[in-house]
Amino acid sequence: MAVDVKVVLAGVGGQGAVLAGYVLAASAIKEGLSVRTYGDMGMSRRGGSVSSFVNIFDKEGTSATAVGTADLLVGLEPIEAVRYCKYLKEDGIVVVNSYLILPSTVGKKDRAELSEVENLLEFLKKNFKKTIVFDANKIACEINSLTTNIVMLGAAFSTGKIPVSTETFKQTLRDSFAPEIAEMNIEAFERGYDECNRK
Amino acid sequence: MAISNVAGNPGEKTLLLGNEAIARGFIEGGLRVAASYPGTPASEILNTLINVGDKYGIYTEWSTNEKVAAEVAISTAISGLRSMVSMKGVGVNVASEPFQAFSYMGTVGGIVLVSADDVGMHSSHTEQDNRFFAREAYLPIFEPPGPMGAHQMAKAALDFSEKWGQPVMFRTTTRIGHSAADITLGPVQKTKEKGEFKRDPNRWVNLPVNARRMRRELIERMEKIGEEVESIPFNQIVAEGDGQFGVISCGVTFNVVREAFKDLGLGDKIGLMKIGTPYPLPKKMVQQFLASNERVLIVEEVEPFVETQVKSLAHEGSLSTQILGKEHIPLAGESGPREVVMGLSQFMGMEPPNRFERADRIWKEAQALIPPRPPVLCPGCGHRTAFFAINVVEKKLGLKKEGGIVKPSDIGCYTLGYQSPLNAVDTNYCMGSSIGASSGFSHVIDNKIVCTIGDSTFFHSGIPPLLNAVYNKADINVVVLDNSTTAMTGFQPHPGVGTTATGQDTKCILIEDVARACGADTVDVVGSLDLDGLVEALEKAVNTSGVSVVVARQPCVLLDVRTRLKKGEKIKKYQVDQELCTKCELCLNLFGCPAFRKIDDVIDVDLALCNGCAACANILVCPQEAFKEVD
Ligand SMILES: Cc1ncc(C[n+]2csc(CCOP(=O)(O)OP(=O)(O)O)c2C)c(N)n1
Repeated sequence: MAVDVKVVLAGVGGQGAVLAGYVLAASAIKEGLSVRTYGDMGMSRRGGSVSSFVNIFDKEGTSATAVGTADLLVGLEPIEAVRYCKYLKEDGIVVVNSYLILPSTVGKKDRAELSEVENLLEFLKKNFKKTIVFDANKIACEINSLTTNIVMLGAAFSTGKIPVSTETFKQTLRDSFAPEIAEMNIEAFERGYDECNRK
Repeated sequence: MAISNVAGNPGEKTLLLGNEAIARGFIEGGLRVAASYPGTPASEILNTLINVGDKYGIYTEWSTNEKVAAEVAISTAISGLRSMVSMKGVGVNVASEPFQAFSYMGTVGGIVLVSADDVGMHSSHTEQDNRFFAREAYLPIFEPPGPMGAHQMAKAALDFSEKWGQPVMFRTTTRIGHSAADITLGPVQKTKEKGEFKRDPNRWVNLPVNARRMRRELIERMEKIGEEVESIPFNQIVAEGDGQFGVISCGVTFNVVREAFKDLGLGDKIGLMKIGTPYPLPKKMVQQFLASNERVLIVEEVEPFVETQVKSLAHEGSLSTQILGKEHIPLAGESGPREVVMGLSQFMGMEPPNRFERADRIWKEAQALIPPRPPVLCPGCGHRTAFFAINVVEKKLGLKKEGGIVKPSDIGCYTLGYQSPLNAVDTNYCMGSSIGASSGFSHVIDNKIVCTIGDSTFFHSGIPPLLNAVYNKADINVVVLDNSTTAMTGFQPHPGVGTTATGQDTKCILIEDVARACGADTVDVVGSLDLDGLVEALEKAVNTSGVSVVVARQPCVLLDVRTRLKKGEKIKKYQVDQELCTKCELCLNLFGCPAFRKIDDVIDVDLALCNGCAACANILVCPQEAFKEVD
């Protein structure tokens, strides 16, 4: 069957959504597949909302992702998962980190109401039957707080939706980063995978 | 070791960002010099060339602004070598002057002006379509459909420019520059190290007597170029169609159009023409396409640049084809899959697909649940403390009653001082505008004026307006927010840093020295995290008439923390002592560090985000002095 998978990563500037998208894309190339990605850069990085679109295909794929067409949403933060879920198709899968980061620009009067993570998760579950929720920050902090993005990719791979083998992905980490950093991220990847494989 | 391998061997397949692909294309085309001033979405082109320049014998520099970068590249080309100058779309406004003149002279070595237009305004203040600038300056335009096309076109643009002796514009957009694709590297043409300047004052000195002759030569040259573009592969009739409907697509919309055809099940019923050189257009090819289709839709982003030309070609050729464009394709913003599918179905008289309904409903409901998340100043950023100090002084001197301090600002991370709770940016026109704007205000309003400008922006275009303020007796206060880098665009060095693009040591030019040399009445230097010192210096400045300059200096916290961690230093952190906190929320409502949070009525610091600037420990931020160093 033809490969044509669209993944959307969404998070907060600094969480590494764009970098994670590149590593994923590079791993797909290693398997002989073609890729098109688009990631936010520049202004939006300073703590703003950041997204990365990764399309993986063998023959013909799409260069840009329309709303309602993605297969998998990887939400590095719940508010951002809700912001980008319009890109998912009806039977798409959501993998979301439950750790909330409230924007510092939220005014006094909205602060309490917006802090309710449950509302966000309910919304995702209501619209997408397969929504996997877990606290990726907790896992990442046990390794290194900067690894949330790769913990989330581990979770994304556990859905079976990504047409790349976990071995190839880990090898891409080894080829892309210094050994200590690669090993740290491989641990993060495996922890995320195992955590969600059971769900 | 990296994710992308720009410097890989020919034949190797690697993931390249559009901007890396452009850089690689230039390398393959035998580039000798690359100059730029940072700006999204262009920065990665020079960043990439800097990293691999040594290997390929390419000289790279971050110039002080786009105009200077253009002049550096032009002299390379005049010396017979190949060069490129890249910039974000609005940068072309700054670089415009030298290119207008250079176009008349024509070039010896290939030279390409990369205009990275920010369609969608992801991080720019205009969506300007620089193809109009290129047309006005007689620069042939190469416009790629995506990263792969950009890789091929960058090399071709250098060859083309050299062949025809004419500078070329390479027009890319954010969508292309920041997309990545699997790209197969091509062979690299070696560049000579030394050029040769052949003295020819009748050509290189643009006196009117020369310019009048050269303008005629330019028009002739462009006519020949117009013939040439009929046969280059970037312009092509891709599908003939059945003669009823046809689409002419330019730039990034090409792939989107093809996907839309599939999406709407149009198959090979519809004709398709691809335009890679929107100026000059391959006239004969366009007329041929028009002649064989009853109705043609022009799909291009932003302005109807190709559209108006095609309409005039139809007129010239007495063709009755119905030509549509901006009736169906938006003027503002990007034309992505949705816009193109909708526009195309309208054009074809088809029922537009309704499958966006679910996504629209979800988006409507989602918006009610989530707050916007604009970019903000980082935890520990010295810009925040500087803005906060300006607000403190405004209150302390009772200026709020008199309409408050007017706070013109400029372009950089510090423009984010616009956000709540700082609200300390009142105006911003373009790079370097803060000081000129302040001068203007000072002659017509009574408010005190305190403007803010970043260090890189000061060197880019802040010095002439500072001289102007002194010369024309303005009464203003200028705060230069010196974080020793060009932070917003990714930490490029500038003349106040002490290193060049490639990391070599160079003279470090101090802003206070420049300000004194410009004749400022008072000049003070304060650490940006020293709140008390800032308040004192600002009070003095505001109470002194004439031009006062305060340099608020603190290395960018992101860079600083990174270097300190590398050296093995510990970053101290601050936490709220809950015994002392009275939940007055002043810290959140006036200072607003993103590391502060309030969960279940408890205000504390997210230690993962805290960068240890210690500003919160100042009584001005927390009257209870509840923020304490954590051990
Ligand atoms: C003419 C023009 N060139 C380039 C840019 C891109 N640009 C936006 S912010 C910025 C950086 C300014 O650096 P600095 O003034 O040092 O402020 P910082 O971001 O470091 O706070 C640049 C170059 C622009 N907006 N306009």
